[in-house]
Amino acid sequence: MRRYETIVIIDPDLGEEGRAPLFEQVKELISEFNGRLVKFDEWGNRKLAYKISKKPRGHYVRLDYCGTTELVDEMERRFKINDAFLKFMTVLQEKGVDLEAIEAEIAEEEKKTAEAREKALLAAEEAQSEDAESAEEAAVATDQPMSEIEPGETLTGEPEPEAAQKDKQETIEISTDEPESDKKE
Amino acid sequence: MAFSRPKEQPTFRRKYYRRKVCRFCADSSLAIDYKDPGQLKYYITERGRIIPRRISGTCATHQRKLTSAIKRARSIALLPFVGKYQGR
Repeated sequence: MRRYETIVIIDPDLGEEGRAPLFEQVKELISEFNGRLVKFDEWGNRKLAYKISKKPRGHYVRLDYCGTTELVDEMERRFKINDAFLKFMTVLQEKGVDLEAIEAEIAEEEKKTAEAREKALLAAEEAQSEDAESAEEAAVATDQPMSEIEPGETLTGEPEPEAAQKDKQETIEISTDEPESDKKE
Repeated sequence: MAFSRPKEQPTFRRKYYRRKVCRFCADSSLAIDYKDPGQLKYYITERGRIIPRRISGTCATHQRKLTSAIKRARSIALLPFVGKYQGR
């Protein structure tokens, strides 16, 4: 099993209703070939760097999935047939993927999004209530889940290294800036 | 050609040599990702050409990764083959 990432550009004129059946088909296809969809990521309508079939905009979708080469072949074959798919590109992410690890990753992702949603709700409540005390309580409530997530986390919560980077970048700029003007002479 | 530098005098060009640093080596958290045209645009010219590493100072490893990332980004219309990158 391999992990792939496919980016598809769909005709933006189709609209929400037009796209839904296409997405259904893709999802069905993945399960048909015993693949596993890790993430279905819609970027929405974006401006294209160049026109594709005379269209200046496109609806981007990123598919992160596991599957076999047959799945990719079949998927790309269908993309080619259907005019709604303006362009696509598949990139191999990882070979020999362990399905259990992927399942765990998906579960974690879902947990994270659920918690983020909760947090957003809490924040909204906080904004609504002008009472200072209730706001504090909510802040405590939001703090707690944060500390629970962190150990298993990969992406979120890295404020410190970022600050360190900034310092680094600054030092580099200083060291490079000065001699540049001399070089041009 | 007609004018040749006196041999005794050392060339002073060395003195002003600017040490370029590979940004990706200096900052390990900077990832090269073809899905992020906002980052990649610093490594292409206004006309959309990839800036050579002799100018940008990127190390060989990262230049290789950059090149493939830029080419991928081009193929899905995130970056232009020719012309200016116009943001989002």
